[in-house]
Amino acid sequence: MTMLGYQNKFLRIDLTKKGAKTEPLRMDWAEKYIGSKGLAIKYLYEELKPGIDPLSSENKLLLMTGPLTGTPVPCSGKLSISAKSPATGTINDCSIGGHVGIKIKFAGYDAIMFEGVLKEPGYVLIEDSKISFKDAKDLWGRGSHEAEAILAEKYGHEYSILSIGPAGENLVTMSCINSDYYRQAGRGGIGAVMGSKNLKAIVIKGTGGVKAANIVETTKRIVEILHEDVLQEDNTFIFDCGTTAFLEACNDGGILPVNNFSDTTDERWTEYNGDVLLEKRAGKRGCGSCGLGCGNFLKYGNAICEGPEYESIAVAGPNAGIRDPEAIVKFNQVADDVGLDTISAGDTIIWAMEMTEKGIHDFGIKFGDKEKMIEYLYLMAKREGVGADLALGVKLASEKYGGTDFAMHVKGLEYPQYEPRGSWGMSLAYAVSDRGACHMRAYAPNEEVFAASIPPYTPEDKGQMVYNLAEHNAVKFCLCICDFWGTITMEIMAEMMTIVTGKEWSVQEMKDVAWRTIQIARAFNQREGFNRKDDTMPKRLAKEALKNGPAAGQAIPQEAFEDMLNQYYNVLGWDENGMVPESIICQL
Amino acid sequence: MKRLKFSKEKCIGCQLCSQVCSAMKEGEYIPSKARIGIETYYDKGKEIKYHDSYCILCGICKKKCPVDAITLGEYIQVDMDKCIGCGVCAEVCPKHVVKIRDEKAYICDTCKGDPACVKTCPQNALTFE
Amino acid sequence: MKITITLRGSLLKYFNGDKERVVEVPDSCTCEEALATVGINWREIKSFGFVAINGKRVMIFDQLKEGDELKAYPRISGG
Repeated sequence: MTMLGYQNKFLRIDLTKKGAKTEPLRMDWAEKYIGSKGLAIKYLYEELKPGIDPLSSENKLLLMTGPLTGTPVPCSGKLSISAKSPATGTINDCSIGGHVGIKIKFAGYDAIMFEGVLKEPGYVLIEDSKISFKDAKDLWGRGSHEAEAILAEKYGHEYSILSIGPAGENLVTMSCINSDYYRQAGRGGIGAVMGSKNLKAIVIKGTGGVKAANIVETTKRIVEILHEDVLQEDNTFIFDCGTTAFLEACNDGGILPVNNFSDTTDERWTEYNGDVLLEKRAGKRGCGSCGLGCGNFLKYGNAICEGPEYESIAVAGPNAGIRDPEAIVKFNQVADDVGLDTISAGDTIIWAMEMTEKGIHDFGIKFGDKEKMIEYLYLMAKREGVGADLALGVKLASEKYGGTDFAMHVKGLEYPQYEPRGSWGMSLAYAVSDRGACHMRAYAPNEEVFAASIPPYTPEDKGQMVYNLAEHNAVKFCLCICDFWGTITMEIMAEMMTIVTGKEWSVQEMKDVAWRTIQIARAFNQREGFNRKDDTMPKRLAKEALKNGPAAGQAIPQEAFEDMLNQYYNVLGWDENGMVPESIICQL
Repeated sequence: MKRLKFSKEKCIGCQLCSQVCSAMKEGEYIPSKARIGIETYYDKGKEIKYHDSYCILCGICKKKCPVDAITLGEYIQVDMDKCIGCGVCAEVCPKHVVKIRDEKAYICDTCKGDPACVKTCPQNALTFE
Repeated sequence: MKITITLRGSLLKYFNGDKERVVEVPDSCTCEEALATVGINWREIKSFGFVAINGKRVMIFDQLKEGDELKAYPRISGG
C-alpha cells in the first residue's frame, strides 16, 4: 500500500551536464529500508561500481531524508549524507542537523543525488522544482562560515545551506560538510567528495508540504509523545548542558582519554567542564523539528562556536594535554570553518604530538601546544608544510613515519573519544562499525559504563550487546531521528512510522529494517575487499595497560577482542572471516 | 482577551509551531501556509536572529478591511463569502501573519481560543495569556 | 561508618535538591545497600545510571569503606 510521509520523488542532479531530473522513489526499497541511512546505503550499493576511486566522478553524493522528515515527530530533522568514503574506502553515511533536511522535504524531494563533476567551482541552488547551477569562483578558497554568510546574505534566511571549507576543496580525506554554520556531517571525508565534484555549496528552499495519515489525530499523538516522553529530564539534560554532560561521567567512568589515548581520567577535568564553558553561552538553538535544543551558541573570548561537543572537548582538551576552554572552543571554530572533522583532525594532531615526544618523528608539536594545534588545522586544510603529512590521517601518516601501535583508527577512520579499555565492548563497536571507528553505530558505554551492573572489562556477551545497540541505532538513523531522544524505544519508533505513513509497522519489522541495513552496509564493504583482517583494534589497547582511573590495570587481550568479533559475526550469520554469506545478500 | 505571546529568549527555532499549525489548518505539514512562522537563524554566524510572525490580535486588519469580512471577538474570523482577497489586510499586518491565497485571506484564529502551537511549543516560548 | 552520598543531574530530586548527604551505614555495606538506606532503590529508577566511589566507577555490588564518597549518576545516552 502507499505510504504517506514520503514525497515519492528522487531528484538526480548531473553536475557534468548541468541537468536535473526527478524519478519516483524506489518504494519497494523504502519498504525494506525506510529512509535515510538504510535507504541511502541501498541506493549506493545498487548504483556505485565496486572499486571506484571515491574522489573520482564515479562517486555519488546522496542526500537522503526519511518519511518522518518535515513532520513534527520530535528530533526528526536530521539528514543523511552519504557516499563512498575517501578516508576508508567503505560506505560512509553521515548525519547532519540544522534545517536542511526538512527544507529538502518541503522542496518536494525524499532524496537528492549528485552525480558527475562540475567543470568549474560552483554551487547548486534548489528552489522547490527549480534547479540552477551557479558560479562559485568568488567563494572557492573561503572558509565555510564565510561562504555561508555570503550566500545567506544573498538569498535570505528561508534558505538552508550546505557548504565545504578549503579542506574539502583540497580533497583532504577528513573534511566535513557544514550547515547552519555550526552543524556538521563530519566523518569519513564526506566534504572531500563534495570538493571532488567542484561543488562548494548547496542552497535550498522549500515551500511545499508533507502529508501524513489521519493528520489531525496523528499530530495530536505526536505532540503528546513530545511532552510525555521527549521532554522529560532523562532527555532534557541535553538542553541544559549539551554533550558537555558526558565529560564527568566519562572521566569517572574511566573512558575519557588523555594524551593520545595513552591513559584515561583527568584530575583537571573541571577546568574545561560544561559549567565553565556554558558560562559563555550566548544563545540556544535546535534543529528543525527538534524540541530538545542541544545547541549551545558560545562566545568565549575571541572564539565562537556552537557546542563544543564532548568529542571536540576531549580531543582538543585532555587527549591533547590541553586544559584551556578558550583554546578548545577556538579549535572547534577553526576546524569547522576550514572544513575539517574535529575528531579525525584532532586525533591526527595528537598522534603527531606523541610521535614528537617519543622522538620517532619531529612534527614540531607536543602535548599542550594549544596555539600550534589550531595553526596546524590551517596547514592541514591547505596541505601546506607539516599539514601535508597530517592531512593524510593517522593511518597513512603512521604507515609513512611509524607509530602504528598508537595510531588510533579502524579502517583509516580515527577513533572517537571513548577509550575502549574502560569499555571493552566499544573496541568491538569501533571495529565492526560500517565506516571505521565510529561511536554512533553502537555506543557501548551506555550499557557497560553508564549502567550500574554490567561488567565493562570482559568479552562475555559483548557480541550480542553491541548488536542490540547497533540494531536500535540503525532503526533510529533509518528514521533520521537524533540520538538525543535517549528514551525512544523500538515501540515508539514503530508507532511513529505507523501513524505517519498509515501502514502498520511492527517492532519486528523495524528490527528487520535494522538487520538489513547492517547487512547491506557490510555487503558494500565486503565488495570493496573488506573482511575480518580490517576489523581491528589499535595495538596500544592490547599492549599497554591503563595507569589511572577506575579502569587502571586494564588492557584488552587480543584473544578477548577476537572472541568478541566471533560472537558478533555469529549474531549476524557471518562466517569466521566476517563475510556475509550469499544466502543473506540475496535477501537485501 | 487572551493573546499569543512569544519569548524569544526561550525559542530554539525548531519550527514545530508552524508544522503543527499547518497540519491543523491545512491538513498538511506545510510551514509556508501556517498561520504562525517563527524561525531563528544565525546572522553571519555571529548572532542569533529571530523572525517572529504571529497574530497579536491588534485588529488593524479588521479596521482596514474594505468589505468588513473580518471580525474580532475573542479571536479573528474571516468571512470567506465576503472576502475578496484584495490583500489590504496582508499589507497592513505588522507581524506579516496574513496569507493571501486563491483570492482569500487566511489569518490566525488562535484555534478559536485554544492554540495548537502553544500546546506544542517544547520550550514554553509561546504562551497564550 | 560514615560515608557521603552525592547525587548528580536528574537524581538530585531524591535528595530534594541537596547535592550530597553524609549518612551512617553498616560497616562494609555495598553501594546498593547504602543507597537503600536513603530510600533509593536503583532498580526501580528508570533513569538510574551508575555509581562511583571517590570518583571512580564501580559495580553497584562493590563495598564501601569509612569516609568514602559514593556518587550516583543518572543515565545518559547519545554520543
